[in-house]
Amino acid sequence: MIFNLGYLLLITALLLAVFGAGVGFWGGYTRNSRLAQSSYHAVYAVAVLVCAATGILWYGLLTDQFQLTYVWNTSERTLPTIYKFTALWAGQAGSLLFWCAILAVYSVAVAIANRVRHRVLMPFVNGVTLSTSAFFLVLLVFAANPFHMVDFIPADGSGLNPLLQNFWMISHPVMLYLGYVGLAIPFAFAVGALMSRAVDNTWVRTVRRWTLIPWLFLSAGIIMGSQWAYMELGWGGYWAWDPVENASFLPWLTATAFLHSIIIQEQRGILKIWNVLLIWLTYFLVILGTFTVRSGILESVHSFARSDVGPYFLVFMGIILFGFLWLLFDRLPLLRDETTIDAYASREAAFLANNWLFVGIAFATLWGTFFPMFSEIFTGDRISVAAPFFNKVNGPLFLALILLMGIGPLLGWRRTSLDLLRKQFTWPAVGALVIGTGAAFYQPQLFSVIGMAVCGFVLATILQEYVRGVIARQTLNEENILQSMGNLWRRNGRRYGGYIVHLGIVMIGVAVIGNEFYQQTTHVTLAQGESAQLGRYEVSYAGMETERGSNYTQFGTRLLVFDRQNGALLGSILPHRNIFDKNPDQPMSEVGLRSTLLEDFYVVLNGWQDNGQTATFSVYVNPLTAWMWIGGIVLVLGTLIAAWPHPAPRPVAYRAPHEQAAQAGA
Amino acid sequence: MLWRLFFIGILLFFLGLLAWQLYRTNVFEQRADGLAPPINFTTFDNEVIAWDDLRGQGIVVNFWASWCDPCREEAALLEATWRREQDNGIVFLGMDYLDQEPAARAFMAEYDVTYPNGPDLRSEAARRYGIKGVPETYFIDPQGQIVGSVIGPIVDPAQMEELLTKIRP
Amino acid sequence: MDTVVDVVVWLGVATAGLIALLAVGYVIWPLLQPGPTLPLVEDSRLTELLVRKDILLRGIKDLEFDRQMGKISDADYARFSARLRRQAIGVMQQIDKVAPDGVAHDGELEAEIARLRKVQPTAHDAHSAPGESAAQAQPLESDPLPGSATVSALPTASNGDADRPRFCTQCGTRVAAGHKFCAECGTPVGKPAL
Repeated sequence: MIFNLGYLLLITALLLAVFGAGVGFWGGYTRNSRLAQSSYHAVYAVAVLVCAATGILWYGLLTDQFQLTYVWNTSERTLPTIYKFTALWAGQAGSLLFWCAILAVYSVAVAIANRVRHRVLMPFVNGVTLSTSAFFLVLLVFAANPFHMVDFIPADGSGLNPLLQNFWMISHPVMLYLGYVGLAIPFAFAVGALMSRAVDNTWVRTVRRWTLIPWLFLSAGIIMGSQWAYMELGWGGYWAWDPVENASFLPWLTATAFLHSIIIQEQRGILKIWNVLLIWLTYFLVILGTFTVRSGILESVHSFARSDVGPYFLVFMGIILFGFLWLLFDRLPLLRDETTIDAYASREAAFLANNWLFVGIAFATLWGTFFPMFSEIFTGDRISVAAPFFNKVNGPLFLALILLMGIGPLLGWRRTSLDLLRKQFTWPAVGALVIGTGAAFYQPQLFSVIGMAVCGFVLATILQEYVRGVIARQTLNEENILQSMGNLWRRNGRRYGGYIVHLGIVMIGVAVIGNEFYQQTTHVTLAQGESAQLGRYEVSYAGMETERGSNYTQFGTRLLVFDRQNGALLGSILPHRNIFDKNPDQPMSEVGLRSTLLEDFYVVLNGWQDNGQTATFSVYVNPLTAWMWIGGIVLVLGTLIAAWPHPAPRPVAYRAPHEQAAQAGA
Repeated sequence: MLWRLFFIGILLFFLGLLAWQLYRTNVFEQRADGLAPPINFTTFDNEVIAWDDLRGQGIVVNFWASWCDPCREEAALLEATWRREQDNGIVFLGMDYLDQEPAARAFMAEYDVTYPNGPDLRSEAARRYGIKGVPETYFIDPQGQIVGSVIGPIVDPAQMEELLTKIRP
Repeated sequence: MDTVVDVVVWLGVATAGLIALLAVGYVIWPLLQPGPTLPLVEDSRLTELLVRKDILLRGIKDLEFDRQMGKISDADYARFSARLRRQAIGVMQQIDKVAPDGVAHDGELEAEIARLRKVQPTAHDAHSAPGESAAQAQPLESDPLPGSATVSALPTASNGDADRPRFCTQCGTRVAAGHKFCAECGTPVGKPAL
């Protein structure tokens, strides 16, 4: 009964979303406050209804209501409670509902935060967010009903996909969804600005934070995803350029480009069309990614089961593409640039180059992702371009991007003169030289040395920026160093938080270079008591350990890791395989890992014979991998600094004079 | 103006390719008239059925469930046909869709079903065939092509006969 | 037994209907309320001006900071700083004009205007710190800026609109009476509708 109610809630939400979107657009167009008010109410009501429906599905999952086909297919009685909770986004229908719920919550947050500041803009924004909600509700109501029931109660469910029964899979999808869905908000603002013809800098300012927040989640989600791939999939890597991974990476690229280019629009009043295009592209890539993951047109290790949602997505993408372009072409005269770029040696020129690189990487990735589809259509064979293509094309582009990350901050706005350039570049160049030489001594490989040198360059740039910033503050104020750092973040969080983000990216870059060029690997079969050597490690196989979990059996092999030179015991690791009761044909590998800042010793259990008398392993030494996760954390912290509300004055909306007098400091 | 048209043209082209690929995916991998997706499963009697071993025979795949009333209407006919045709190069496979094992066994005992029947774990076969519901029956010729499918119960022996002639080796 | 089931079913249907009705009612409620419909008002011009002012002030601070960090030469600094200050003054005059009794009461803004009117942004002016410089304005020695001459002669905001000089919102240059575009940068300078 309660599940029929859930379905009814979804239908009601759909009707209200459609109505609210219409009222929002119409109210914005006629500037009618009643219609606008009604659109706000629709946003709130849809959020309440969708969240209630989500709650009902959660209730069904947690109480094992297997008459729901969704629960039946994604859960089982012995599933640990936490995974019953996360099963909400394990299947098609549930994850669409989850998506819709997140969007609804975002919409409410945006509506409440901006209803005073953007009175004219907001009805349009409500219209766009409600339209998107309506689309997902159409899917839920007509194509993927999470409350579909069979008319008997099965004894047990068929179990959650073992791939998803993992610590990282608890938070990784949530982060990705928060990032993905949140990118609908800046798009809604862009559409609202175009529709209301208020294409000035006001919306750009507001939208910066609403882009940074989803960007933060998306970045964290991507990093958690690679952590999961590293720990679970056990091929020794963290990123495989799989279509699903690319689906999350593409909007990240364009969103990052957008975050940079809105700074130029704000500062210099240029690139207005470009920014609008970028955010539209980002939103389109979000929907395209969702579509490819769910429609089965590209093969991937982690796609959803096929279902009937494909055609709906196509129609929706058509609307986004051509509706938006029509709007943009109509408003093109309003988007005139106010100035031009003065000189190539200027920060805005560096930003522009950064944008081209980001878009170039995005295009190469898009091309590679869809190449199997193109080749199948035009030649009949499905040819994947696989990782080498991506590495070859994107590797140099990323390197150039990182280099630019070091150059850009050294330039001033508008123009930087030659002798100043020399002064600015001295220390970073020294940094590049030192680290590059170090890398060359370690192992003389051209590309890795160049890569390391570039990372050294950026690192030195960031350091120099901080040192000079602190000195500049200290000559003016009586502060200690910590106070100066704090003040740099507080007063200029955008710039100095941004540098921290860059620092995180450099750390990730270093980890990638280490793994790409210095990874060592071997495959061995060991009997009990035997040992093998790799790098500076020696590993010996002690025996098999079997353990029973609630819905799986863990087969582990105990390995002792020694230092090869002095024979000291460094630790003991337990690479294992989990065989799940409901999916015995899909054993899950968990690697054994001994991680240090310098390198990871990483062992995958491939199989065993005679009850563990002998076992086969893939052994890897992955240099510098830990920096990838540290860099991820640094990146998140930096984003928080950059997104933290500044004490800077904010623009105010028009108010009656007496109201305004009350608003001090505006 | 020209670059606008160019821009729109490229996007249209891309969208068209996506649509075409979606259509092909659905045609080739989900629904009838193409190469039949292979089914490998273990029957309720613990017999392993491997698709490749069945090459050269006509295959009738029937999706059913014990909770489905229309399935009862065709059960007797399916079993009788199987008994008559099993030596003529025709194989019947029963895929038990979204069901519980005891109920399924009871159903099979009730109709004395003897042809290979097994649970469709994770509804994999059902998904690959893109069934619309149960019962649904596919007729696959010795070359592995789906030549016919029936949505709903088959109650008319003549219809059964007509479809069987298409798949006789 | 059947009646119990019936009651449960009916209760469920009633709850569902009630929730749906409540939600729909909440959404259409604003449309049914009595009283006149108000047009949505947002002085987008004022908002835009305030945002622009904000950005210009930030730009000035950034520029000063960049010079302290050695990223920009003194000559460039003087040039760009003068341009930015001129623009900022233009924008502030526009704000004065658009909302004479509203924003002008803002203490910080007043201080900022005072500062910009007094500070002479030449290469010697190395003391204006980012952020805290409002108080340490230097007295005016000479006035090289084309816009500044009119600044000191600015009529106060309470003056009539008729003979008031107009300034370009983009670059702050004074616009001659009757001109529809700024002679300096070409920006349209129609009179703002308040």
